[in-house]
Amino acid sequence: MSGIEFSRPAYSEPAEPGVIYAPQSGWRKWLDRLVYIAALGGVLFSMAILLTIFAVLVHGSWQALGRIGLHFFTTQAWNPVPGRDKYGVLAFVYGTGVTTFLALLFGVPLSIGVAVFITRLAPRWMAGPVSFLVELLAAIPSIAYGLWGCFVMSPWLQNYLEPVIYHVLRHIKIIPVGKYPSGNIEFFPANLVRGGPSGSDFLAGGLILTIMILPIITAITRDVLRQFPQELEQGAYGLGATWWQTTRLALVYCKAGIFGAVMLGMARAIGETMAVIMVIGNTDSISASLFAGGQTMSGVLANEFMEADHPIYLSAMFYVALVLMLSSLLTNVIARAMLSRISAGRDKR
Amino acid sequence: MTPPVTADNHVSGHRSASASAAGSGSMSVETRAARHAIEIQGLNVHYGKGHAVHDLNLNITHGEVTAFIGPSGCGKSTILRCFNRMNDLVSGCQVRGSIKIHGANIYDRRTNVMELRRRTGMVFQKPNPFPKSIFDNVAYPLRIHGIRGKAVIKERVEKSLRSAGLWDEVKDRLNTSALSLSGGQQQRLCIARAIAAEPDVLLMDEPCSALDPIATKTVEKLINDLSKTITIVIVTHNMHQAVRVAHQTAFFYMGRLVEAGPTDKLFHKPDHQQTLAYVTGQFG
Repeated sequence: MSGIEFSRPAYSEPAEPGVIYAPQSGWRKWLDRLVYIAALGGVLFSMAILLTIFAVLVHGSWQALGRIGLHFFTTQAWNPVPGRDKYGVLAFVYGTGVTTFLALLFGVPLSIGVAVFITRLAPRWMAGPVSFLVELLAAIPSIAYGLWGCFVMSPWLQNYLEPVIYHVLRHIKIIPVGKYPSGNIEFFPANLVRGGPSGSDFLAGGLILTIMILPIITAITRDVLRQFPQELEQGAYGLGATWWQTTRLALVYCKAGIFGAVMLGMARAIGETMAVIMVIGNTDSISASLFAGGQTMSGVLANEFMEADHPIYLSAMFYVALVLMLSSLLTNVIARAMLSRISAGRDKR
Repeated sequence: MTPPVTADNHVSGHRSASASAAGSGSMSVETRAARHAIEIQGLNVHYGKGHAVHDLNLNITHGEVTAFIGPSGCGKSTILRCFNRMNDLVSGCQVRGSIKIHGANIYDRRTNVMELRRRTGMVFQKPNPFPKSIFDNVAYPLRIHGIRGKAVIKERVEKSLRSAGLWDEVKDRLNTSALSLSGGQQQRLCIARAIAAEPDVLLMDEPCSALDPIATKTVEKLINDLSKTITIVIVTHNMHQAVRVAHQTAFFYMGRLVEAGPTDKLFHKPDHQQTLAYVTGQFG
């Protein structure tokens, strides 16, 4: 063996100059085009679907839009009996709003707490399994939650939790907020438990949603908390910060991501249907009481789509669907605007 | 300003070390009645099964700049991180022996680690400003240690930024993000943050290794200025830097202290062959 033989000189002769002008080989050019067209087609197709759904909803609700118009938003009653035909979305908007609010109220601190536990507190052998179990909650079908809620959670609420809350809160009358039809003055927070335990109410709807949004908010918050740089953590500890002070710094650092997680949870809470209708009582009432039954926008659609047997009824249903879609859209737009403000604040200010 | 070294406020099994009894690694210059900011006795550090620091005895003189030099993995950063107990955060890290800062054994069970870290500011390799405004970065250590008064905070922030030689550059934009500063400015901001809570000792872990030569020069000048008021321990990879900034230098190799003494002597007439080999660039 006499060393390495180079098969060509170190500086090889340049390729023939004409080579770069030669046309690209046929099949490669076509492959490029094909992928380009497929990608573009995918984009156009999904945009078309969105527009089509929107168009169908507007078309379907056309009659109701003309006959009810904006009164839809100021009417509470929902009475589809032919001849009466009174349709208002107010109670359902309220129901969606209240259950979503409750879900976020309970779910956000809980999820962030779990995420903090997983990323910053749990020993390694524990973080993995806890993480996995929380994510497993996301894999449970919504109808299974509903069934559990209906047969386990609701009776438990009615018999155990709600009586306790009821007996405590009903005596606490701090802020007068209005008058009942009977003439009695309505006080906060006693009004939150008016009517007594029922088990099928706003509280039940809010609680079932809490469990359902827990995994998504936890998983995303956990992932963004893991992005908290080691240098900043060391920096905070090095200045004498406690564990909690450092954790607060991490939460502030990750606030944009956590906000995104909360928004995804909120979107899920707004759209979630089956589990909620099984525990919320399904009435068109608007009550400050957490123990009152209610209904959500998606709930009324799921409950009544089979029964919408005359044109204006069906049209009003489409109208509800349109409002639901627009409110999702609106939350998304607001969320994006706030998100860009938060992240702009982090990078610039 | 500094509490005197007393024998009764430490609780380790060791006896109080006077300057003369401080052992082979003593850096005290005999002609001076040196006071020791940090006294290390029988320090051993283990990471799991690895033995990172062997039987270290060393005194660090109050009011001077002490440089730790040595090749990578020689344990110099590990020792620095013992001084404010940052090693507590590393799982599997075991520290034995005693370290006294101004007479108090910091590895005592009763040590308030948060307070210890307030008294020993630390500056890291990479500038690590928080994603907050310039003002809030420097105010952070004050706030976490319970200082609430707006006027007090404002005054101390200005004082720290002036000490860090950054005030004139940032006084008109205290509310802009710290991340908008250049690398060298960010590092000086971190120094301002580290001295804001008025520590007794400033620990610097290769503070210039991520900076360009001009920023490095500024920071070194700052170290010189600060050394008039605060004891500084600096870990550096750069031997020239040690010569430029440090009164005392300690050379470590493979987790052991090889030699410590006045910087001039260590670089020009070292006692050990190994030190000579390192400072003349034969390995490292």
